[in-house]
Amino acid sequence: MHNPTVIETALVELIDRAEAECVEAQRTDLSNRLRQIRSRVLDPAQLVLVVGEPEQGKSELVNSLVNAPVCATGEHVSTTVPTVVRHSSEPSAQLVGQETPQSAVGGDRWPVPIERLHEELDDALRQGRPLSRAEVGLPRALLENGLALMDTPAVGGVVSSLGAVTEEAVAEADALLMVSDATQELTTNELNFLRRVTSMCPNVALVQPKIDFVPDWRRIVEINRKHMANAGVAGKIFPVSSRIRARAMREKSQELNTESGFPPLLDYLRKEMASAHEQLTRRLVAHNVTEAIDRITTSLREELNNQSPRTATETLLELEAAQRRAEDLKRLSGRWQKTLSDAVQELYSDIEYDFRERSWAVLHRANETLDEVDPGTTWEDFEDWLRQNLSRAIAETFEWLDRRRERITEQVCDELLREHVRTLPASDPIPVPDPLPRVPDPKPPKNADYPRKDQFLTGLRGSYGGVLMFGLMTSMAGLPLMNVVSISAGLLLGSKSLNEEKDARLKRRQAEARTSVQRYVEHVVFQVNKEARDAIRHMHQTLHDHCNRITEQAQISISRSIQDTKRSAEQSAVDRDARAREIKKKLEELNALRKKAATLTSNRITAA
Amino acid sequence: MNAPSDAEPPPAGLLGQARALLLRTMTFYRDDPRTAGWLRTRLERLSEPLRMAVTGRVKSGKSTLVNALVGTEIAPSDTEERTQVNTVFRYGDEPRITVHTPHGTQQHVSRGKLDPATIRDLQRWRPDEVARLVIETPSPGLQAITLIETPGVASTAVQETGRSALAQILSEADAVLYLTRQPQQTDVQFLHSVHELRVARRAPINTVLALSRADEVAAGDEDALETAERRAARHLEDPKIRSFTQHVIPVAGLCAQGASTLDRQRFEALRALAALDGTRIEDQLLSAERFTKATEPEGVDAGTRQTLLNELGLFGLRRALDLLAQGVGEPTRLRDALLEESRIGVLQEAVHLQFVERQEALRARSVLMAVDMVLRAHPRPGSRQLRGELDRLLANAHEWDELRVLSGLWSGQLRLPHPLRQEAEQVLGARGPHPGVRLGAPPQAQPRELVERAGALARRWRALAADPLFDRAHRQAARTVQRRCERLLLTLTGGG
Repeated sequence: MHNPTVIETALVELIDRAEAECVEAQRTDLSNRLRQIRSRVLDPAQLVLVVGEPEQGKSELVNSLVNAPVCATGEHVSTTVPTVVRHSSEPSAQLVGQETPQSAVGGDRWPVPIERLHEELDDALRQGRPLSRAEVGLPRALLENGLALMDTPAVGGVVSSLGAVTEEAVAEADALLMVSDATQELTTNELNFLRRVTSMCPNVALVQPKIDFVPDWRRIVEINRKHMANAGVAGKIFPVSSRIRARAMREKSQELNTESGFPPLLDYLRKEMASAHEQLTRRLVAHNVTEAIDRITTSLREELNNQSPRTATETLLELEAAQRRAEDLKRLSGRWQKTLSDAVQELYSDIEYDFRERSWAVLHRANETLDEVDPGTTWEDFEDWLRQNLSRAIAETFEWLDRRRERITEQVCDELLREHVRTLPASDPIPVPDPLPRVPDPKPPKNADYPRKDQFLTGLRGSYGGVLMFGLMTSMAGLPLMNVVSISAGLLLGSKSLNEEKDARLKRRQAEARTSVQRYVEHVVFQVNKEARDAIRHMHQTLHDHCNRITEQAQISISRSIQDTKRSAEQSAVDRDARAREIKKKLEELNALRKKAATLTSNRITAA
Repeated sequence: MNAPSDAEPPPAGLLGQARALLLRTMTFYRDDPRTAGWLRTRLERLSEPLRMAVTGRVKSGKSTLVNALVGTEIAPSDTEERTQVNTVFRYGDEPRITVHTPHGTQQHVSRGKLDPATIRDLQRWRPDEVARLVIETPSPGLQAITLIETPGVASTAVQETGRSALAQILSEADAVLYLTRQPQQTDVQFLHSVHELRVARRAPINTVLALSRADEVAAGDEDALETAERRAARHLEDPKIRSFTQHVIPVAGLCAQGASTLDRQRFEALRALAALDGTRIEDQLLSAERFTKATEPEGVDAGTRQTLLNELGLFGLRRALDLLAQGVGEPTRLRDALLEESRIGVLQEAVHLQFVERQEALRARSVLMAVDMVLRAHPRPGSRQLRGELDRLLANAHEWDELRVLSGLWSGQLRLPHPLRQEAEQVLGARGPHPGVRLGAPPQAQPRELVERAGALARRWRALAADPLFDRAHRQAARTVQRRCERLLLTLTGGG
């Protein structure tokens, strides 16, 4: 039999050496893990995890074991935060927060009165404080030699299959007590869980509470023994009854206590756990140290392989590959450039045609309107209408232009995609310009007004001819020049010529308005075309720059890799050999350390 | 308002339409004897009682609950999970057991009497030997509803082959009573996979979740069922569970089964036990084992004790003895009191309200699901039209919307102020399907009066449906009520 402290020292020393290796290899993650294991080895506590499905009576079991209501039971609470029960001379309780960079090592601690533990826990959870566990200290003989019981959140509830907290804890546990009540045989889920956890922590026992409730619990236990054997899970089964145990404690009855099934379970925890602890610690250390060393060894081996003097062919191959990539890149950039310029050319001609078509539609409608109305009186309304229509047409054209822009961007980027990660350039949608204010307003048609005086003169001219013509005709009949007939004919002809004149003026005005509108629209078309061309040019520029940047980056990386290849080819063989020797030596050391760690489990360690 | 008259279903209702579609599908597939035969069985089912699958977790007390619901010990229950065969319990003039093999043949095993031991043996056959077991019995509990007991979910005994058969039987049943001791991920996954079918998604109204073996909660203490009820309420708040059921009911199946089969002899034994001194009986009741091994009083022998324990469970025993001590002195009264303790009545009522009362909608759902399955499995030229018809029916199935709203109101998911709630329930047919009852009018009301009432209701609910103070679910519910009012208005004016 070895002296426990000697062994402990040996273990710690082993861990320290492994940790030093980890630090040297700059693997802080591994060294942190080893530091945790180190504190776990120095911690005399033997952690026993109580796990199981919801409402199987895990918390109740812990309470019965220590004979105090330390874990919350009942219908309205389910355990969400693990509770650790360990020994202390005075009953005490504290909440432990999750370890964060700001908090103390192992998480912040808040002592709470033991009788108010559940309320405090609920409050803390409601306030959203990140708790990792609750700790309870009790003066119990069972816990005296370092046994710590941990009540864990349920496995396989509606939400999750295996809580992250539980999984983490299982890896460090000395033993597991799986709780599954005796009313029912183990389900597939429970068996699967058992199978999974035994790979992490082989020391498992099945506790079956509620045997007071079921008449044929013996059969259930028998069936479960079979199930566990079939699943390859080795472990004892303890059928217990918390109810009888509570009664036994109340009445201080030895007989009832025996009946409750608790004494064997307590014995198991007290004796087997204590002797197994050393073994467990060894295994824990062996496992973790081996794993850490293996990781370092792998990365060192890789380095060694890279270090081995490369042959000329290898260098040649690499250079060739780089060259090939460069050629590919050249081809690729030619391709996207062609795609881009083609698309832009197409767009130039399309956009001109597009807006011209739209403006023609507007013009056509304007002409139709002008055929019917008098532009002299309705000019202002008409002008508004024309502007509105034109600006709508402009908006449509630019919308269409924007869609085309997006498509072209995608097309070009797709060309790039084959070699590079597809990134779309950050570009804003093309804004819709408002060129109308820059175009001089269409001129309103002239002689819109027809003054009274002119009207009178025109009327007079017409009537004068009428009077003279008919007066002469009637004068032959002997009537005077101014008679009834001639005057009425004069009036008639006068009004007719007035009307004709008005009509002619209207026609003229309409024609004028049409020309003016035509000119105006032409102007607008010119302006819009200019805007559109500007926009396309801008887009062309942005896209070109974007793709160019990507290609350039690729070019740079290729040339850098060519340089690297050359440099490493030139690196002196002496340097390489030195480093290789170093690594080989290190590997040997690590191998020795690993062997030592492996012997831990076979019980042959001596104080080295 | 202007409800388009072509969207209004003919008087036959959803079930009538679904049936018509089934007939058309049958005609369409008449040259394929297998499919047509399968569809024919679906059609025949429409004239049989409603089919309810009793399924759930392993050892969740399915057989016990079947016995409790039927009222006699008909399904054998066992400590070990062995059931691998779907067992159909249905009403028949004389007791009979029929075995259906996977090849389609039938075999009458026994006739005239039912022996649980025989049934148990048959249930343990493998699924490739026995497709299903049909047990007929003249029990009044089965007249309205046929029960299908299935193997447990996530059991060690059921292999992967059994899993698909299970899903199939669930899709064959019109309604599902799912039993679990504690809803877990497996249950939720299973029920979701059952609801994955398109038609099923359209009408998630056919599941009641029972928290079985509620007597075991809190180790069978007196308030076990109250505790279980609080738990059930908590589960009902979980949206994952609410998405497929609006009813979570705790039930102590064993206690109910024991109570419903309680006879004179057992009652006398119970009375003898109750006559014992308080502390002595308490000692015996501390554990099941103590009870079976106890010797006092002499009149109750070990065999009787074992039976009592098996039939009632420890919880049932404790409650029965309490009740006897409180002075319940007659077998029938004890029986009723125990049945009430077991909450089986609540479950039966839920099954009645949810399933039997709504059988039309549930049957329509099953029929449409069958049509959907056939059209999906055997597409052929021309089936497009049938599919369109099916889609139309699915989109217009207001009945299902109404059922969802009703169960939402009952389960408290939809919270309307009291008078509104009552009105909504009435309109949706909770008191009866007659237009007068739905409108809450006195029986001698004139048609004109009814029309006015319907119009007023429609207006009010239309306003509620647009009320910005309600959330989306409530607005949708209001719209459903409004639509029903409009349809009532249409039938009233269209008919007169």
